[in-house]
Amino acid sequence: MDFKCVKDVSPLMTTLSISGYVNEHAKFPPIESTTPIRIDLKGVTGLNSVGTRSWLIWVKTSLPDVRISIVNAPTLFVKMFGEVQGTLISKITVDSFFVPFYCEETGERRDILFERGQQFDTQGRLTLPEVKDSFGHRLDLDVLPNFFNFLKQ
Amino acid sequence: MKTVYDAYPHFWSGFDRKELKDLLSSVACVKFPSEATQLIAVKSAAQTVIVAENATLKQIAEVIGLGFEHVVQADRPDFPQELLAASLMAARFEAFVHNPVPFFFTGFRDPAQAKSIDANLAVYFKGSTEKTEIIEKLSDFLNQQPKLQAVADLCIQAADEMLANAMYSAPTDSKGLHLFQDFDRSRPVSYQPAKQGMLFASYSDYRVVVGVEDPYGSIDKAKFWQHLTSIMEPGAIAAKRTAGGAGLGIRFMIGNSANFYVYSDRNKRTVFACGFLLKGVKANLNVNKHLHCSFR
Repeated sequence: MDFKCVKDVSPLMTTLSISGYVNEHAKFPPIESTTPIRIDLKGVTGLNSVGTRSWLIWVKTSLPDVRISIVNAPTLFVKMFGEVQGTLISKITVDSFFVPFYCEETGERRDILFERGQQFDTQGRLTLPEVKDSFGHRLDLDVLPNFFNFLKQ
Repeated sequence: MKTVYDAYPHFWSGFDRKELKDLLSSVACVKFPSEATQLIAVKSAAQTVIVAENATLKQIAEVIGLGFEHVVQADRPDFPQELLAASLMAARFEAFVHNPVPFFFTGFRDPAQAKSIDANLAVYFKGSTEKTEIIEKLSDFLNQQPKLQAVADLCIQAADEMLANAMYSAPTDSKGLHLFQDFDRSRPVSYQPAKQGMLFASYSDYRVVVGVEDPYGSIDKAKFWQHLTSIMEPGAIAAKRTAGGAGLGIRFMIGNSANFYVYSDRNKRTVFACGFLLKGVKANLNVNKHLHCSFR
């Protein structure tokens, strides 16, 4: 649950793997890179308001002027993009993110990874997958339409 | 102007009318926006429940800005229950003073009885170093069944904000000065030795309520009102960059939940609570929200 940010540098890309709870203890490191940066949020387990503020200050002040992509953004992060100003800036693209699906009958929720070129395109057009729960029931998309607004920014 | 009892007599027919009549007859209600012109004639805003008819959050913020403490949404299936809760908070505030958890949060069970049921959680705390452990306990509680799991991230985010408020914004000294409000939120803080706070959670068939009580009752009504109206503007809001919290917590609580409650007993305690419908994420984000904010 503790926040971690692990940096992996290759000749073509710098990958930052962020995990744990993005809260008041989250210390985002300053990053220097001349190659594109990929921010992997797959291990993020939670997000609070102070973590949100740390994130937006980090993306605004500590990231170099290179191509930056986010992958595996959890649903709370995507929700944050629409709720809090400055959390997603123009030099950042989101290449994949999780979307909740829900079955009213069983109460089961599954968060499905949407990837650029598969479930959404550069214009923000969506191709919704068919999602089933462990009993074979169909799950419905469980977000408001504005959840996807960040794709058109 | 009608009272809650007169306006909705059919809701109370299954209850002991004698017991309820005095209570519900002492609380007025105004439908909004259809009876908005009556708002000017209201003598006691705190004793009047606003019955919202598909009102937007911005409209509700304007009503709250006039001093009304309870906005209950008429289109919701739990409208009668929330109307009763609003009436109790407005007219029988003293009934909550000795209750560890207001009974409408425990599915209308007696709090003492509710303690013995695994549909309830109570975790006591004295300082900020316990926050991570409390959230883990809440997470375990919410992992009991799929319907709870489906809203767990919304609940935990709201609970985290309530805990931060209780730990950093609530504590005051003997002169009423806030001790930790502008502290960096990673700096450890503790209550005075005799004081403790509590996180509680309770679920029924259709909702889960998560709340936090602090032992100070120090929330400033005017500042809270001002903050509430500012964060209920539509669209994305800005985070506060100055010392202390980010100013997003209340927005996260209201945005994530279907029902929002604040109960503040001056210099004694404040309870923040959020109710989440057990129908997935969208059902909570999209619903017309009940808001209750009682200050004494």
